[in-house]
Amino acid sequence: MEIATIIEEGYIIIGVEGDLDASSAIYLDQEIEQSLEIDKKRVIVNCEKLEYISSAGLGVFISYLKEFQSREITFVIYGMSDKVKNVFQILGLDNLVNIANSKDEAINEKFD
Amino acid sequence: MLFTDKRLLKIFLISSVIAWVILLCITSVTALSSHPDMPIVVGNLILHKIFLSAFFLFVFLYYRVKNISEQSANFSEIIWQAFITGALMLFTLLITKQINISNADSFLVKDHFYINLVYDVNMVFIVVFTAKVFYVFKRMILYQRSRGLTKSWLIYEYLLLSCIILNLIFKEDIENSFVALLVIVSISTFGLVLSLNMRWVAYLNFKQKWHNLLLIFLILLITLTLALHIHASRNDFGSDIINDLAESVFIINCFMFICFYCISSMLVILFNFPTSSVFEQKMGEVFNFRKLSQTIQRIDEEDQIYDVLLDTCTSTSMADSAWLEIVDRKEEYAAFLNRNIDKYDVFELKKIAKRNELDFKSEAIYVKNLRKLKSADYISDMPFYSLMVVPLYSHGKNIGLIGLVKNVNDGFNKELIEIVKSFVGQASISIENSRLVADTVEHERYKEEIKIAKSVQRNLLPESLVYNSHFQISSFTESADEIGGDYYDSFKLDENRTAIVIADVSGHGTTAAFHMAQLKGVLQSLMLLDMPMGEMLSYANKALGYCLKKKTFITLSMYIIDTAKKQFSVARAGHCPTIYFDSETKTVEYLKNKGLGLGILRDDDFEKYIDIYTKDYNIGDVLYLYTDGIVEAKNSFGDELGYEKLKDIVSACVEKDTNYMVNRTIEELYGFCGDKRLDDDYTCLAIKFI
Repeated sequence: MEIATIIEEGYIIIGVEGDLDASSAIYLDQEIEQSLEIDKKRVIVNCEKLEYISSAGLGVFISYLKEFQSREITFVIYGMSDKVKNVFQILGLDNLVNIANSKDEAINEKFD
Repeated sequence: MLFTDKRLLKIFLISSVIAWVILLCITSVTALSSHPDMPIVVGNLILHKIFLSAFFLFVFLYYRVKNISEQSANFSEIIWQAFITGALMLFTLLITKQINISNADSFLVKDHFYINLVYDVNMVFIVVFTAKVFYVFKRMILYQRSRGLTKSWLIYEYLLLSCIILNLIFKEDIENSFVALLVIVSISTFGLVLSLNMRWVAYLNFKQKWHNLLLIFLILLITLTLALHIHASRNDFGSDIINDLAESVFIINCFMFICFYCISSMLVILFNFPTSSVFEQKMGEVFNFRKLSQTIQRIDEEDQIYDVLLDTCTSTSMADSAWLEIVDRKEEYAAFLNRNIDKYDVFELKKIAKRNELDFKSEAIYVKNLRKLKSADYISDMPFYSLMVVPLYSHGKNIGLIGLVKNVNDGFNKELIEIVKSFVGQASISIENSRLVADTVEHERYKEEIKIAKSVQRNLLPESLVYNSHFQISSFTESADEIGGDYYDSFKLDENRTAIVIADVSGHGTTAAFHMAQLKGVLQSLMLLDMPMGEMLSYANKALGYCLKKKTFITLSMYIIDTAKKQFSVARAGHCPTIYFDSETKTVEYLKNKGLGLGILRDDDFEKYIDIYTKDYNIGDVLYLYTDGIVEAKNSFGDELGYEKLKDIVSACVEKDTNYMVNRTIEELYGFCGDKRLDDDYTCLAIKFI
């Protein structure tokens, strides 16, 4: 798996590529941890090239939900494939995480 | 084998006795038939010579075979045997002589028969002694033989034995025979050359050298006494003796050889006395090394290895002081042992080494005189002069060092460094081995613990599911790791209502198994309260929220089947949707009601995200529950089984009983995966209403 973070004015985009499993989840965790320190109001995860997500990968997102909420950071995921989206839906995460269809939407859309 | 050594020995012994008895008989006949006052007319005595030669030959062959079959390589022992034989022979000879002297006036002394009888009996002793000593010396000469030496010895031995036949040819008075003299001189020279092989002497220690020197000297004395006896008999009785040994070229050669060898070995032993201390020292080192490796192999405690190593090195190098330091894998001090030197002194020595850029850890170092080094004033009040340091290495990594100190200048030498190095090498291997053993033991302990955890986890799963006459139920579970995180269970709520749960803890291994145990505990308690499903899951979520790790969550499907109302309710807490077969419409579908995994939202909002779905069922309807390990199972191309394929597989067997369904789907799953190992936990559970 590869991770690339882009810091922009007002938001951060974390690009995740390949399989997000137990071994690679640690890197995503570190990346999100660092993005919290940068203190932007929007953290976006680009899943356009994410092929597979395991429960450990989901666990990383889940573990930050509260943190984002308390810091009033908007957390958006976009570009998920149908398969990945299905995993989110089955677990019920689609109701807790902001899911955008495009990068544009992820950057500009107002979420509750 | 027709001729074993044992049999040969017997044959030669009997043959030699027979030859001697016949010889004695015919000699007696000749002696008795001669005129008592006249010298015996030595005419045609060829028959005597034949039997005499046969006697020599068989005695020698007997000892030759005996010599080969005896395996003892202890020189002191075989020389002692030779000496004892000689001493016994000499003793008997002297007794007979004494009898002769005491009966000097008796007519018997002049009697031909009596003279020859006594002479022939003595002859046996002489020949036996000669043969015995000859073959003992043969063994000593051939010790650590080369091929050339073996060959030349064989030639010599055969030449010597062939002299027996020469006896038949020569007439009396061999002193006057040029040919006989030539034969004696040439063979004796050959024997002399061979008798210069003295390798065995080098292997004797000081005490053994003295011991053997004395014995060989005594053997020489015995030999000379016997030779003198033969000579004296010849002088006294002249031609009255029929079987005169002095006329035998063979016996003369044997005596010559024995004398040569005795003299040369005595000289060699004498000259080797000064070197025996060196030999003993070397042997001591070999012995120490053997002792070290044997001791080390027997002990498995690292500390004991250190002790043995330090003591062996100290005693072998005769060092005045020594220390040993060992570091563990993290390069931290594991041990420090010192003899006659305290930590502070070692520290000072190390300081000096540092100032002089001596690296104790890279290679063996020998400092002849510490006082010539820079900053030697650090140790001016200590008695140390020479220092030897040898590092311990294991797998190319330094694991410590041994330091040996002597209170004299240039107290060690290069050989000693090599010896200490070999000790150290041996010990390093053992230290490494004992560390590996310790690792293995620890690893085994972990494995054992995991085994226990696995059995605990297995026990969390029900041995049998709740039985109800209105539905069939079957399950299957397997885990990729030693310990899985899949869980299923059933609870009887009352006569008609049964709760069935399937769950998957995120992650694998021990943590997942612990969380599973917590889940079981929570569910078991809540089931007793028999509350509405939404409320129950909400409580479960809250309770688990306190104990689950931050990144861990649980997906779960819970069913309550009411067989009286022919109805079931399902709550899906983020778990894979159940496959449902409607026997009336013959349709198979996924029950995708709203839900959220447990432990994701750890507050009161949870219940908002859960939908309870209730449905009346018909006889023949099927609920197929499973964990994500099944849908996410991959084949060797990396393709997942997926929801569609699973639906097809289940659809194909919904008409069968649940046992068949479960087995069939697992078979299909294995078929799909092929050779690829499953890397998740996978569980399925089928319910059929009847």
